[in-house]
Amino acid sequence: MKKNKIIYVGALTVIVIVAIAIWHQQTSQNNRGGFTIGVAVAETGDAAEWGQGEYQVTKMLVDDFNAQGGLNGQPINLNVEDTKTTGDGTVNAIIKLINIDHVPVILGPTWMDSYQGANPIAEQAKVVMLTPSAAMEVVQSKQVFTYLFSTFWPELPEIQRMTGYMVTHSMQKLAIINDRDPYDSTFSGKLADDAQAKGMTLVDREQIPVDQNDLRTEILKIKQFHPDAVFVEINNVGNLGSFMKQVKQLGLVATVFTTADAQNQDSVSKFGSYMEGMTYPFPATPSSTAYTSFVKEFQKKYGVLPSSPSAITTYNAVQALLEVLKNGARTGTEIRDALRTMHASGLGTSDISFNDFGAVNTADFDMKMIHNSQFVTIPNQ
Amino acid sequence: MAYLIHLAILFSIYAMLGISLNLVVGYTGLLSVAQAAFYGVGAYVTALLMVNAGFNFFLAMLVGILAGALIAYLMGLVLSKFSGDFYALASLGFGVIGYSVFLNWQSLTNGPLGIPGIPRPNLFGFIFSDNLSFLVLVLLALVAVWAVARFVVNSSFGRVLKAIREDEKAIQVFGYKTLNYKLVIFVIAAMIAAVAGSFYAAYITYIDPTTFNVFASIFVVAIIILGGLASLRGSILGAAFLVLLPEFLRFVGFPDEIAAQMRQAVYGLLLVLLMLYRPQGLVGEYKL
Repeated sequence: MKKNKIIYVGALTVIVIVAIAIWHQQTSQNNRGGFTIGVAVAETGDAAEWGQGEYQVTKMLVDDFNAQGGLNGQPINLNVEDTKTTGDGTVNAIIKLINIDHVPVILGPTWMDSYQGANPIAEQAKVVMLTPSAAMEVVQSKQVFTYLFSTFWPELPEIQRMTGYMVTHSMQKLAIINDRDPYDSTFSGKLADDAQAKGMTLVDREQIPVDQNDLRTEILKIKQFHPDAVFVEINNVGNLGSFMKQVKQLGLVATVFTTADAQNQDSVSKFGSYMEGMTYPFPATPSSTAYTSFVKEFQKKYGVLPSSPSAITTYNAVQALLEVLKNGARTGTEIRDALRTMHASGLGTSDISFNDFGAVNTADFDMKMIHNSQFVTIPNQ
Repeated sequence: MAYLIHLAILFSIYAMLGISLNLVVGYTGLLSVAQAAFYGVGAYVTALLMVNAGFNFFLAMLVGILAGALIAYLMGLVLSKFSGDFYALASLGFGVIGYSVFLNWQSLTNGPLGIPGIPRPNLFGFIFSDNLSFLVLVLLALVAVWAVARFVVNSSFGRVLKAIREDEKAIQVFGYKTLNYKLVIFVIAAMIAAVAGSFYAAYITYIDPTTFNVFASIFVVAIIILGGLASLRGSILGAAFLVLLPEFLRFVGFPDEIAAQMRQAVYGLLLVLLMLYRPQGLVGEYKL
């Protein structure tokens, strides 16, 4: 019984300490000055590679902005919370940013389309969530949210670029492997529809659990259909490398397609020649000066190339946000209204602007492939 | 304050789950890792009835509890024939099946896209739309669940459960049909888990299969092992520890670049230390 009392007293002490810590954080928050942006990214869990990249790009751009004078001489502060790549983790991070830190805008959350529990909370609190890594087609499929925005590539142009390339190159038989992540399922379903509308035959579609890494059974099943093209979409980018390795080991001869996620330095470093030939659409302008200087600056600051699949879309999200803040928007509603009418130049699109569903309007895609461990634009597309 | 209220609601829901699983694992000695499936059944039935058929939350929850009971009865018929490691493995199988159903029965559950727009509870025109009123409601439910569980474990039925845990064969010698006892407690635990699921759905207003996977079951097992097996108070303390601690660690001032990883390391270290010095859990009666 005495031990139990110690435990209860200990628990009570912890709660009191935490209450003081929360009070202290709120007080120091109020005294900090400047404008605070919430950042809700997956620093741990399956989406950590995305989330950490999103944080790094955000920090780099905001540091630059502050170094150039900030918002009328005031700095922009970042309050960063880990969404842990889980539903509860995302909700907890967003509620903390809204209710403890009182931020009017949140950059994130990572994979907002996979973890949608926080969406109604932000909407109700009139806090803008601008994510660089979610398809608004999924987020807005059942409910309409006016405070949610995404700079992630719109699905349709990416899909049409890819299926157009397949048809141009006389590919007739298509097989698809996708995991059951909401984004991956929706994207793959739309790709199947578009390919069939263009006269291709869908010979097989394998849907696998999220994070399944051994795809040999599915590959062997697909192999018997002799497809010309195989489209693979899995949310763990790291698994793309092992998928390609298994494809080559099992002798599946077909052009393997995936989304822009393929442009991932980490996979190429780890899996080398196995990645050879992987083909994917990628926003058309990153060869521009802006992209080159972004990559150089990132490498200078962090010592590596930006490998997160959402690095570019994070760049666009931060640029969009800085643009509306520079123009005077401060509250959630002002930021929302300003985002709705804004235009800015970005990477992968000459015009960052949002449609009624909060999705970035358009992007132009080139077809690229991995060749000799390099990401090269395919000539004569 | 709103953040603390939110955490208190989450804690209450997981405390209910902990209590439900402790009846099976702690008091009866059957290691089940299928609790997330019943949690999911409660959540999905409640969500579907409220969103698609306009049911009141309490009626939808009742149907969810009955659905959980029915499914648990059918599962329990098989599971009750096992004990020890075999019971754990078989329950794991059922947990995986449950998750697969939520994920793959797309026409009903909307698959990976989940069910958004679940309304908050409405009682005689009063809508529990703000989190404080919802907290009061979920705390009342937690007290009710606690009372039911306490009644069960203190009854003669509960004493038989503990006897099954200690030596199932010995109690069979005295003429007790242990299979029936194991089945009944499994059904009761499933019903409580369904209650937790109903509250989760109505609180978050959005559900998808990822919340009800095998890892969620393992998380509940961790709650009761940490809090203490065969202890209702242990379930509450375990839920408090595992739900609140990671959130409280958000306030420890690590540098942003490594904060999340440091929090995970500290969290893991605390769990290891706790298990080293309190292997029976915070207030547990026995070790697994």
